[in-house]
Amino acid sequence: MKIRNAALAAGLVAALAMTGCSGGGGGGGTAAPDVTVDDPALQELIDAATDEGEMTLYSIIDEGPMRAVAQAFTDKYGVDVSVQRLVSADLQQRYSAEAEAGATVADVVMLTHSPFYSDGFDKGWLTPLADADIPGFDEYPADFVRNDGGAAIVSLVPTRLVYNTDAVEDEPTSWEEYADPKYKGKLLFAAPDTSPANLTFWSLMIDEFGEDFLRDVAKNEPTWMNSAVVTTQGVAAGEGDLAHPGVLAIVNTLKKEGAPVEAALLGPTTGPEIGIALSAESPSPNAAKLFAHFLLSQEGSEVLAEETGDGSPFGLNMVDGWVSPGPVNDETKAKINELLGAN
Amino acid sequence: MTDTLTRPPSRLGRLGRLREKRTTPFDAVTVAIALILIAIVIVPLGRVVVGMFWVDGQFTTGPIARTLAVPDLPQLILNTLIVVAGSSILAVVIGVLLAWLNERTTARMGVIGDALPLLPFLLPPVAGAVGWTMLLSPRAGLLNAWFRDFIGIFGIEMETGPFNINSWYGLVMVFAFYAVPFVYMNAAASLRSFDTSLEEASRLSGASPLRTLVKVTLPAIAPGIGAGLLLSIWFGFGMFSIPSIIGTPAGIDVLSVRIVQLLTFTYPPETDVAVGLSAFIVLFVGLAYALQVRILRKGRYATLTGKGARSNPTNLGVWKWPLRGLMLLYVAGSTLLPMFALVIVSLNGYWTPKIGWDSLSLRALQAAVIDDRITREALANSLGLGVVGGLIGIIAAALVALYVARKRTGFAQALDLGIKMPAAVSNMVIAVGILLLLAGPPFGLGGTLAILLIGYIALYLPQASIAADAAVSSVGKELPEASAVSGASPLRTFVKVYLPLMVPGLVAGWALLFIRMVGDLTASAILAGTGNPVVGFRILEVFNGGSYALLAALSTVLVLITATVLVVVMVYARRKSRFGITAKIG
Repeated sequence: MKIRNAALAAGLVAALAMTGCSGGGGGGGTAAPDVTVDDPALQELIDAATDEGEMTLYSIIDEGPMRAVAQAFTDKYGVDVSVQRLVSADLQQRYSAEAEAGATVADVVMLTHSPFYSDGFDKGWLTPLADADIPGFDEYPADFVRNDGGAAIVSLVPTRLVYNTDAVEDEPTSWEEYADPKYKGKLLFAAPDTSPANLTFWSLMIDEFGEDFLRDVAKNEPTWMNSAVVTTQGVAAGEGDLAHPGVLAIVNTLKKEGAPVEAALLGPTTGPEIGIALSAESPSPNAAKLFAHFLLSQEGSEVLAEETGDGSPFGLNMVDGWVSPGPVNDETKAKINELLGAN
Repeated sequence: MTDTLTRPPSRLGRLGRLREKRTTPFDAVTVAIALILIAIVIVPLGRVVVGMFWVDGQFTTGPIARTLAVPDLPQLILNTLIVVAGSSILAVVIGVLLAWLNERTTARMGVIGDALPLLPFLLPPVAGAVGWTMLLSPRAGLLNAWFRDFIGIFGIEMETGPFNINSWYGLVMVFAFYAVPFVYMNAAASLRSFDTSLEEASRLSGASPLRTLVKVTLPAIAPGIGAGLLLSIWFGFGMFSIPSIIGTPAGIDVLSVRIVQLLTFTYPPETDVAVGLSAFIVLFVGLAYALQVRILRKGRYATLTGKGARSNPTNLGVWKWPLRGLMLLYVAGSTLLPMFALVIVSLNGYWTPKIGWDSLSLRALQAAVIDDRITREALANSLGLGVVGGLIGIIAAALVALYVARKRTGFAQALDLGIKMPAAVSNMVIAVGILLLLAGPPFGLGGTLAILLIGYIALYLPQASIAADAAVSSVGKELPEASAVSGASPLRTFVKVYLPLMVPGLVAGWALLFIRMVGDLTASAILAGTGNPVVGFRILEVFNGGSYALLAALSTVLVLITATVLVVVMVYARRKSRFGITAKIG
């Protein structure tokens, strides 16, 4: 609390200073670039955001890429972003507890689109993007606007096929490789019910290749694990040849360390769609709106896509045959588990 | 002196109890502290439970029905019981043996021996589980690969194995490694404060060292063993990372993993079934607790008497060195091996059985710790929280343990139960509750170190409390009564008699708290942030980000720092307690 007050005071001082000289320092000591734009509404927002000087972002996107995107934003507008990286469950628990306690910390949240969003709007924790007068929001690709304009999808994270490059010579070209008998005992899979995205994926596989495909995968006796981290690590070490699900961020981390692992982007695929939403009780509402404006512009969206390697709604890095994830009912879930022989 | 061992709670004790019916200011402060600590956990938890059973203004039994409808419930409970019971029994055998060897025989190795069995504890469970996976995965496990290379020399070809960490024995083994320190610490503390003339008497009567151990020493330190067993059972039920990383691939589902899954898989989380499943843990831990209360009630165990004679440790003769070797072998196997795997992987950059020995580098260490400002801040925060939180926690626990031991009223028992209850509830539920209670107005502690301190104390108080109980029970009644009869106030008796005599047990308890708090992952994920980073939070971040090398580097640094702190404190405490007791008694 103290820190926040101090920062507020710093922002105030900066604001006072700026009446004298435009383009002065923002909060947190970052020199604000002299930003001038044609759109008066945007100019007004930039000025208000620079006055606030800083904002907090809760995000599930991998730390490295997220910090890089935040830095691009800071470089452009001079507003500091403090990034808090959390996995979905922790982020939801934490955000809702803070909002319920009346102690909202995050100005912007970015997490997998889930019922969390509609709950957040119902309970008044989140403020709809459409009501926030975000410059340029009208031109955002309509297919990726959710909750009646309340939230928007900013990143599409396709599920990939992970393989060990020492053990698998040619890049796999189809999901059907999972059913190839030569991989018997060499599949490391996250259990279907460890994540909603996994269930959606297998339900898509039933639609695409039929139930027999899952039965054949089961014949390869996959080892069921608890997360994409452990399966990917296992394949990188040679414990298995193929892993599921493939998350590019994890594979990239390992590749950077020199591990013989690669992720193949295959269609059709699905995966988490990461959305953006604004806090109703945002400590820095204008900085939050400006950040949303940035990520919803083609420029910001492509920075995010380049940093993460995942798809942008504007088209960069998009896979052929992307299927938006839908909820999977209990019946289908039971069928998937049964066909795959999981549990 | 033998009568200390056989005498039922003394008549003098009853007189003493009559006198202690009065409530002194000291008692009032104790009760207030206990109530605050309990409230921090109970108030939010109560809200969750009421919310479960009271939906739209009506009472409902829905959560119970939904919990019982979990399809694989019997299997889930059975698996959990097998893992917890198997590892706890193993831990008691190993822990007591190590404690005895190191405290009461000529095989003892001083502070080194004290600290070594605690080492597995320093490695956060998630790092320990990853370390063992790296060693004993059937195909890519380092030990397996090296073993296969070795037998390959003799023309024996194997593609996988021979060991598999993802198995019942692997799971029970790693659980046991983490449970041994609980038993060791409490058993060792009891042995240190126990009247060694009993052993002397047994030896003089011609009993062998083994017979003396089984017939005299073990029964005398039953409270310590009981406390250790209780802690390891408790720990076993709550453990998440180990069964999640090691058990799941083996198809072994346990309660703790399912509870976390229920809390994290969907939004909103299925808190009702998660809490429902926790009820089973409460039940089993409650049974273990009842057992420990019985041990303490029986009173047929060693207490410190007014006569502080120390006799010679048991002479093991030619067995001294083989047994020392065995102790070192255990430590090497349980701790140094996974540490070694982590260090190698951190130097290599990623986990693989094909280590590039000529291209090892400190890049991961550099990236994870030295170059990362937040990590350095997190390390400092965690160590500070561990030291302060451990101190506050163990003193609060000691006060309550004393109160409970002296009063033995229903109210005191309820306090005791209340303070131990958080151990049976998922850490995540408690952490969310604390955030709800304290983050907003009027407290406004969100994002501060204070909320972490309170959270850690609330979460780990049960462990402190069990350690404190054993410490209190080892003091006995003679000395405090002497103090009281001489006209000392309860506060004075606490400071001048109880505290110094309890030092070995309390230091062990403090060390336990310190390690748990510094290595905490669950509460930190909910309560820590960019404004108040802690190490556990960083470890979780690098694990989820998918870098075992960074995880390994960070864990190694953490182990080195906590081990140093621990050894320094133990050396100090050993001196202090020795002088303390002789000065007070001699």
